[in-house]
Amino acid sequence: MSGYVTFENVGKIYKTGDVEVTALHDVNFTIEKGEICIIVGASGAGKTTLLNILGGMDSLTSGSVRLDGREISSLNKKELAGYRREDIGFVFQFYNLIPNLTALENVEIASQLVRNSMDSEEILNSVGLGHRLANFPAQLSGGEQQRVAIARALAKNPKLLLCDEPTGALDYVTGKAILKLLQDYSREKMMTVVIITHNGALAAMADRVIQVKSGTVSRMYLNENPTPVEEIEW
Amino acid sequence: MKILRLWKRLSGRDMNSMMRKLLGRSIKKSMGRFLAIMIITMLGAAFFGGLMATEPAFIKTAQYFTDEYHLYDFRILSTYGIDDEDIAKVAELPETQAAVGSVYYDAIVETSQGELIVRVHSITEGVNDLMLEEGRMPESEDECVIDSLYFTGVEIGDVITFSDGNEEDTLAALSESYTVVGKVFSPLYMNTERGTTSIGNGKLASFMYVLPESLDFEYYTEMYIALEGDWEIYSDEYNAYVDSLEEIFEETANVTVYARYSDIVSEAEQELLDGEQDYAEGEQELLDGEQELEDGEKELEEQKAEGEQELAKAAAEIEDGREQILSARQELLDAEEALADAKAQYEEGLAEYEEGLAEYEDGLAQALAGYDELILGESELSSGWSQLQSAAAQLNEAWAQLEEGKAQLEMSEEIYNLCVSVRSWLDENEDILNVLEYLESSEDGTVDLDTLLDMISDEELREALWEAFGNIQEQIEESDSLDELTGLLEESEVLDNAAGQITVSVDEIRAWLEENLGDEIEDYLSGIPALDTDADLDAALSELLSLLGLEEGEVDTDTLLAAIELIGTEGLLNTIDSVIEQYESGLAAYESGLASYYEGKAAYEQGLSEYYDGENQLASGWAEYYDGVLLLEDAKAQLEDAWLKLEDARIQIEDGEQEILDGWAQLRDAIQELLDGETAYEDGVEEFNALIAEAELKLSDARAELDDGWAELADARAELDDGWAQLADLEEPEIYILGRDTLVGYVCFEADAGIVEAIAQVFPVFFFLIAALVCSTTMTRMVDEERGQIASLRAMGYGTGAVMSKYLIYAALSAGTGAVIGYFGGCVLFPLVIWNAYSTMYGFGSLILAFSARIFLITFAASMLCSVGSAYLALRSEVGQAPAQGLRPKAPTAGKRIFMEYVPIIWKRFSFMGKVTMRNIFRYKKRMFMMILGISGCTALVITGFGIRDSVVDICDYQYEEIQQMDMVVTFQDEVSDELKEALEGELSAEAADYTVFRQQSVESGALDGTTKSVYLIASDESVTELVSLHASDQELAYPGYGEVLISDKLAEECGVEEGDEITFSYGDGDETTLTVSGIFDNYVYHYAYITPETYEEYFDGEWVANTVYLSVSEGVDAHELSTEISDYEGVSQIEIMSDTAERVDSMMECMDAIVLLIIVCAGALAFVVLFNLSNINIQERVREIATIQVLGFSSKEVRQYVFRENLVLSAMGIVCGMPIGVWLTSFVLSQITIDMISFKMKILPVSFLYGAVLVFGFTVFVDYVMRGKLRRINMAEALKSIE
Repeated sequence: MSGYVTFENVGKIYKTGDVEVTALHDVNFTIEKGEICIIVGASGAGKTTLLNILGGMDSLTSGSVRLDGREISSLNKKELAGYRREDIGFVFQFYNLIPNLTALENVEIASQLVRNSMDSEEILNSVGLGHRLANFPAQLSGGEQQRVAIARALAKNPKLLLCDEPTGALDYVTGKAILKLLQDYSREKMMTVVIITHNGALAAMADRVIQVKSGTVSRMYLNENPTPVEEIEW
Repeated sequence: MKILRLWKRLSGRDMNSMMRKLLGRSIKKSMGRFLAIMIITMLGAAFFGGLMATEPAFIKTAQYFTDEYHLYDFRILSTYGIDDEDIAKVAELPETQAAVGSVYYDAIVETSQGELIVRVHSITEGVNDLMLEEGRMPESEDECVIDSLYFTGVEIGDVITFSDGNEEDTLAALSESYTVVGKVFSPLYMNTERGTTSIGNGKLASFMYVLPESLDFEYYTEMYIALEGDWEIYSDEYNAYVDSLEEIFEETANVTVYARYSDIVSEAEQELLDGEQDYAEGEQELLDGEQELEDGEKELEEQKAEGEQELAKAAAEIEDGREQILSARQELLDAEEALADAKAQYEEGLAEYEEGLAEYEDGLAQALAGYDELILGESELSSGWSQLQSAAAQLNEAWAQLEEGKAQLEMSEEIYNLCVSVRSWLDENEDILNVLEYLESSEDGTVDLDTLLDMISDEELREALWEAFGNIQEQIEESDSLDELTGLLEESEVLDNAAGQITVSVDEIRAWLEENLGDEIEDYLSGIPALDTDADLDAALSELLSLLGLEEGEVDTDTLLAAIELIGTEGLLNTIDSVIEQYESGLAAYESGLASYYEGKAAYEQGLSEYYDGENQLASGWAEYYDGVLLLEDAKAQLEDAWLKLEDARIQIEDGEQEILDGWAQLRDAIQELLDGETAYEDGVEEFNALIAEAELKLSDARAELDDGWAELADARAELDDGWAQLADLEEPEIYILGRDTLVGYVCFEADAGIVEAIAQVFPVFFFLIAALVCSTTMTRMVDEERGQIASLRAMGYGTGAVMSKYLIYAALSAGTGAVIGYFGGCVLFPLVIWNAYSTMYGFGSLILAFSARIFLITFAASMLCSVGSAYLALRSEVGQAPAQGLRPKAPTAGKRIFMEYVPIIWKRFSFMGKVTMRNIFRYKKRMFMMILGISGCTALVITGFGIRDSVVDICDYQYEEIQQMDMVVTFQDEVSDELKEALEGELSAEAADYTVFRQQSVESGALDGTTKSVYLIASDESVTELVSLHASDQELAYPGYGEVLISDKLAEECGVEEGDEITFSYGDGDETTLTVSGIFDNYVYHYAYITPETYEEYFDGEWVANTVYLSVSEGVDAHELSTEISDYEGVSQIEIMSDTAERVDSMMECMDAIVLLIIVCAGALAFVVLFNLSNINIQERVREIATIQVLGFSSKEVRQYVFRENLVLSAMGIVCGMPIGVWLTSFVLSQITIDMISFKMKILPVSFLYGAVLVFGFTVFVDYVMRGKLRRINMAEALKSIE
């Protein structure tokens, strides 16, 4: 099994004192480069854990994870930091912008980290925020904040864009716009995008859909014809 | 519990178990936070409580001490002393608990380290009890206890003696020596001050106590009274009480003292009258003495003359003896010389003798050899004689033979002669013979003329013949023609016809010969002697004749010729020749025999003569031999003689030597005798002189005594007069009553105990302020964190009070614990540390801690106010809003542009991260403020700590190197001795580099606070400034003029005087004088006042007498060594070596180190609490932000920088702010710390700022290091997931 992203028998067990909680088990899937992959599942199904593992924020208990042929599961803390820095772009539900930095600065703080970064202003322009560069997050709307967050993730020119409920905190229209942005970007730049959502309706926009249930992949299928975001209703 | 109830009331209902659980969990979860509040409150409480408790603890300690050891309340002195009656009267008063008389003497004590001026007290039972530190109390009269602090160089077991330089009264009163049996602390000397005195340099160094029995005194000097009742010391009540009693006590004492006064007056009168009586007696005695003295002088004169005469005689004798010895010695020397000569002669004689002996032995040997020779000669001579006899016989025989031979020869002599003559004739006529023979040989009768002529050798004959026969020839030859010649030849018949030869007829010739020659032959023959007719001869002649054919007697020519013709010539000749030969050989034999005879005879005669000679020689040999023998005999006799003489000589020499040795021995004896004599003489002289001197001394003593007596008598007169006069102006007694306020230690202690109170007013405020801030931020954060919980609880219906109570109790618990621990810890620690620092000055026992409920409540209330108050403020806004709002996440503090961003020049310079940091710093204003305050407070404290140290540590250097540059202070009892001054110019000048001589005296000056300050008054000319630098902040001050004084800065400060003001000094027994301050100089230790000698004489009513020397030693000279040298000079009472003093002051200063360390530790704790708490809050508050940047891929190092950079910047700002605060705080603290006599001047070294900065930065870095773990533990996923 070889793909751009490969999960092979991934298992994750949390240990809190004597209590063991199995978050993931026997997770197997692949994602190809340039695909938009949507991981859907109910709350607590383990999709966030899955994303965290893929994003190098959490370790796995068993199995292996590869990105572009690179084994991630065996990286140490320092290497993981490097991995996050070079290969991954994150977009969170609550944006997680640094409140003390302007929109531009929030992008710059990321772009500074890598060598082949994109121009911060340009990317903010491209997400439609060219006019709000000097605003602090508190001065931006949720959608704008999420755009800044996406711009920040993209500025690093990552191999993989990971989005955790990117629309969770947004209203329908704004959420749609954000998803559109992601879809367009993926299509334009052949960017591999993984979106986590509990909203099954969004699956239509994906090239690949992975359904997670009770800590494992219950179903995975490819969408031959992904629906443009504009046409999706939920 | 009160608080808890209070909160119960506030909350309106009891806290339920759920709330308690929540509270417990909160505390557990945020232990760091809880502890932070606790610790900061603890620090504040400790500082406040501790510093506030210090003075009460000190006072309490002093109270205990004064109660325990019964410090006096009153001290009564009187000009007439105090006696038991006085004491009894006072003791009767109801207020009196105890009244004890006391006496003291100021004395100079000799110790191994020099002299000490000490006050010797009598031990007072019941009042001023002594605190025994070591050993035991005195039990017998020769024991004492000493000052445990300043009795340097004396230990328990040592014996104390007193200098001869003490006043006589003092020495009389004291025992000769005391054995030290213990060391004590006296209530009279509570601090280091030992007081002043009228002896020595005016300063008491120490004290000692002895039993009253061991002091010889008439009256007590003073009376100490302890009052009934417990009074708090230093309290106003006590002071008022004592004031009220003063008059009563004074009156009581006065009554008895007055009674004694009148006693004294009458006693004195009686004494004076007795004195008059004595005076008269004394006068009479003196007159008697004068008479005796005169007698004695006369006697002495006589004795002296007699003695001198005797001595002169003895001296003459000794001189004689000396001369004799000298001459005897000369004689001995001469004798030795003579002996040596004799010895030499003897040696010579001995040599000669031995030589003679050798010669004699030689001669003897020779004589023996000669004798042998002589015996041999005699035998030889006798054999010679017999040889001679036989030779004589042989000679006689030879003679006879010779006679015979002679006779024979005589017989044949005639024949011989004939033969000889014949022979000679024959030889002479050989020609003739030949001719004859020739003629005879002619047969025809003719002969050839030429042949004939040839035969003739005789010319004449030949001519003659020629003439006779040769003319024919001539004719022939002359005829010219043959005819003539023939005709001639024919004519000449001789002419041979054959061959022309001339033939001559033999006859003719014969005839001619006969004719011509006949004579000659004849002549010749006639010459032949006639022969004797002797038989023999005849025989011989006959024979010969026979031979010749001749007859005897007839010998003639004819015969001869005839013989010749007969036998022929030849035969004849042979015959003759044999005859001749026979004869001649016989003659020769004879002659040779004769010759040998004669020869033999001569030999004989010679031998004979030789024999005789030998005989003669032998005879003379014998004679010589006998002579020799005689000589030898002689010589032998002489030698024996000589030997005897030599032996004699030897014995004589030996005898001589012995005599000389004896002589020397005698001489030595004589010398010894002489020396003995001389010694005896000298002894005699000495004795005599001694006797005389003694006598004279006695006389002069007597004289002196008499003079003394007269002088005494005069003195006595004067005294008596004086006494009368004194009695006349005898003053009435005066009584002084003094309280504790005149006891320096008591007064100083109050002042010193109070010093920390001032500090207590500043530090705790500072700490509480910070505590409040810490509580505030912490509680704010806690409330922020739990706003969801608060909202939920409220939504569930919990009342505001109930919800708030959780947080208020949290704060109260934390701060309360801190306050309790802090208060008690501080109350123990601070007083102890400060007590420790003061303990070098106040040595009375260990500290008694004082806890005050009031202070505790204040502390606790302040802590509560800070913690609960700030918690309440933090809660108020949160609890005040609607629960719904609280349930929503609180928007993080919005980002804002900070002012710097509007100054692009600055802003552009920051790196991106720098900008982030700067913005973050200003984002949380409260935290920034708190951080800066905390850090600056910490910095200020550290700098204060170092500053105090800097200010204190160099005091010694400044005082003893820059200001007082001398190495040694030499104090004299009365006056600097001229010997030392000379020595300093002379033998000690190499060791003493510089010195100055002046008067130093201890005076006192009243300070503003009511105490009196002891001041060293230095009355010197300006030369003292060579060793003491009088300057005010680097500016040299002019030496004071007449009526002016230069005083040290601390004194000026204490007395509140400035340049140009007047200052009053009290000296001696309370006299006062006022001088104008001409300048104030920098000084650190003790108080000094400098005046000129002129000022001294005028203003201090005394003669200016130098009593002190300041001395600086040369490089490489040990001051202690020099001090021991100097201490040998008379009059030196004390030598203070400045390096020792500096050390002592230094050790006093070291107590400061404890305070400094305390401050630095507190500062560190403060810094840690503040930093830890703030960092903790900072991280918690920004955990999401931190997680975000971690997710973005910041490495852990970058994350740390992102977070802690703020801390570092804030620390730097805090440090910068803290430095001026530190400077201020240092000056404040120094102004509050008063150690009497020492002046602190603030000085902070630049390096101390550096240390402070580094230390605080170090705290920051340390806290950051601790917080790293916290950062590491942040779970990104968790942090990002949660909604705040």
